[in-house]
Amino acid sequence: MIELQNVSKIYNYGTPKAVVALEDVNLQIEKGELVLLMGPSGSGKSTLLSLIAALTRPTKGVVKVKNRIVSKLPDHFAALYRREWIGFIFQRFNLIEELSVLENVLLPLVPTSWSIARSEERAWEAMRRFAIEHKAHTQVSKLSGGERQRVAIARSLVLDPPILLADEPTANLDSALAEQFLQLVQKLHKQGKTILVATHDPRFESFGADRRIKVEAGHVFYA
Amino acid sequence: MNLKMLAFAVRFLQRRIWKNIAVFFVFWALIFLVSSAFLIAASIKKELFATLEELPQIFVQRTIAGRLVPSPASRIEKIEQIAGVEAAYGRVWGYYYFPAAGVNFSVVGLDMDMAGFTPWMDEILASDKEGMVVGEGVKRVLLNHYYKDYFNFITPSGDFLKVPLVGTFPAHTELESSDTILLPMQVARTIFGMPQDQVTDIAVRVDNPKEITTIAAKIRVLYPDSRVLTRFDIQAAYQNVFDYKSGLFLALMLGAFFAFFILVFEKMSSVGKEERREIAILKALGWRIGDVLRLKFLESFLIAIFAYGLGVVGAYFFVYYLQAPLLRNIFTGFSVLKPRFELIPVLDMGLLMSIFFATVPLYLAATIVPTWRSSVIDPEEALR
Ligand SMILES: Nc1ncnc2c1ncn2[C@@H]1O[C@H](COP(=O)(O)OP(=O)(O)O)[C@@H](O)[C@H]1O
Ligand SMILES: [Mg+2]
Repeated sequence: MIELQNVSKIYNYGTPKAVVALEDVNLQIEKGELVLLMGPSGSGKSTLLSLIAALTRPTKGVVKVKNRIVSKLPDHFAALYRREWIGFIFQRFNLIEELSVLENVLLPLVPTSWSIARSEERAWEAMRRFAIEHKAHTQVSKLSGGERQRVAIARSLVLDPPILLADEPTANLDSALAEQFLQLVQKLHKQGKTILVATHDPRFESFGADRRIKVEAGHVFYA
Repeated sequence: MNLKMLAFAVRFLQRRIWKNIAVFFVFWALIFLVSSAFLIAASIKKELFATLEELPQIFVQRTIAGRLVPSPASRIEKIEQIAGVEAAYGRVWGYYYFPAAGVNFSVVGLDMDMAGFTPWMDEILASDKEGMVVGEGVKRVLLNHYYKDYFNFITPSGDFLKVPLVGTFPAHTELESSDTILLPMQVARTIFGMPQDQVTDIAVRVDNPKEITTIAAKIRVLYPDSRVLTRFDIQAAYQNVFDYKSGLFLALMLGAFFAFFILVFEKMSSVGKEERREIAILKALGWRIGDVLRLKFLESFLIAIFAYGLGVVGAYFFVYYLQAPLLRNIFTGFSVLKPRFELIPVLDMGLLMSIFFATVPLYLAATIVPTWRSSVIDPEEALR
């Protein structure tokens, strides 16, 4: 499903400030797999997820999804690829604070050709699925951490993409909420989503993942 | 167009409501000022040319050594004999300085001969009144100096000449006539000390307006010392004065545009960090660059179109309902009598379009260009 071939990512490439974030990474993830990317801060986990989501391009190597090279897509098609394939849960959720929950969940639907009615229906469905519909008209800035996370999840999955990428999803959550999130991930896993979770949260140690991948200083090791 | 996008554009505008209100206000003020200025200009121009329609077609003056002097009355008959001339009339008129108010009145002598030149003159002549008929402006000045129903002119010999005030004349050509005093030819002669066989100038009416230029040329040949002005010459002179005043306006407009450019430049050079992050979020959620630009375009367009619409409506209200206090003085102001006149509404689509195309696209570009610049970079950078 997802394949990285000899991928290197060097930020500020060719300048004195160059940073090697990933070096010659090879990685293959099967459809429906639940994979944990574990590793200390600064090891390159976020960079790896960004490359898969085509939010940035590798300096070397290719990223393939469903056997198509996504790392060289022109911007226009990269956006369409993300829309169709990727749900992304950001570390700090990246919600738009001044908009309501419903509006945030609607955001991915805005540029689609769906009607307003159908878009809203879809958004409500996603909010119900992740138990946030009672806050639909509340401004995001007034939500608690757990609620924000549910909004972020609802938003990432509102278009029902087959791949879910989560970057440090439990970093700002207490144990109960973290536990809730782990269960949710398991549920989505059972529904057949391909899931990558990047984390250095020790609470994931006992988590039942298909695979754990260690990331360290820009290299990946299979556990 | 995508209605969802429009709805979100409105929501996005609401988020930074004060900043957007500030931008809206500056934009609105610019449109308001520029529209007001040009509407006043258009109205005054219309007024000037309406006045022009009432002028005789040809004036004949006499100059000696480049200085204007009265013409012999005998020339009237000679000019009338030129083929194509319908009628010629001697006119006695001049400026009368009223020191107490520090203003000049235009004193015009009337004669039954002059019937048919302008409609309102006809009315006054037909009423057979003895005394003077004055413009609104003159009337006000006289009242301010306690002359309610007469005025004392001082003749060249130093005597007082008391002339009763018998009326004011209609106001449809106010710009020109508000400082005018009409009185019998004989009285005018006394005021200016002009002998019977002289006139100030000669007005000529021709049968066929197409012949105005030819006849003017013939008069020049007949009297080499004459200065012959046609309606077209006067039109050109008006145009010059008008253009000069427009120049003052232009300076004002430059100031307004300068402020606007600063606003635009400010917008150009800065897309806030927060806004960059937002653009990155949208892109991460599957928005194409084009989608982001469309959203920002709609945001700016909403501001621009409302500012433009309300600016133009405001200008119409200000100029024609309130009669443009302050601004109108740039055009009319400092003219001798500060005549009071009515600005007549003008609907000039070309003007409104020009103002639109000089401002709205500029503003749109100023918002779209920086958005475009920050939406072509990798979203990953801004999301960290
Ligand atoms: N935009 C960037 N510019 C420069 N350096 C970056 C950028 N993004 C990440 N890095 C660097 O790349 C390395 C990997 O970062 P990251 O992928 O965020 O690691 P992790 O998510 O595991 O903490 C770090 O050293 C980080 O400082
Ligand atoms: Mg990270």
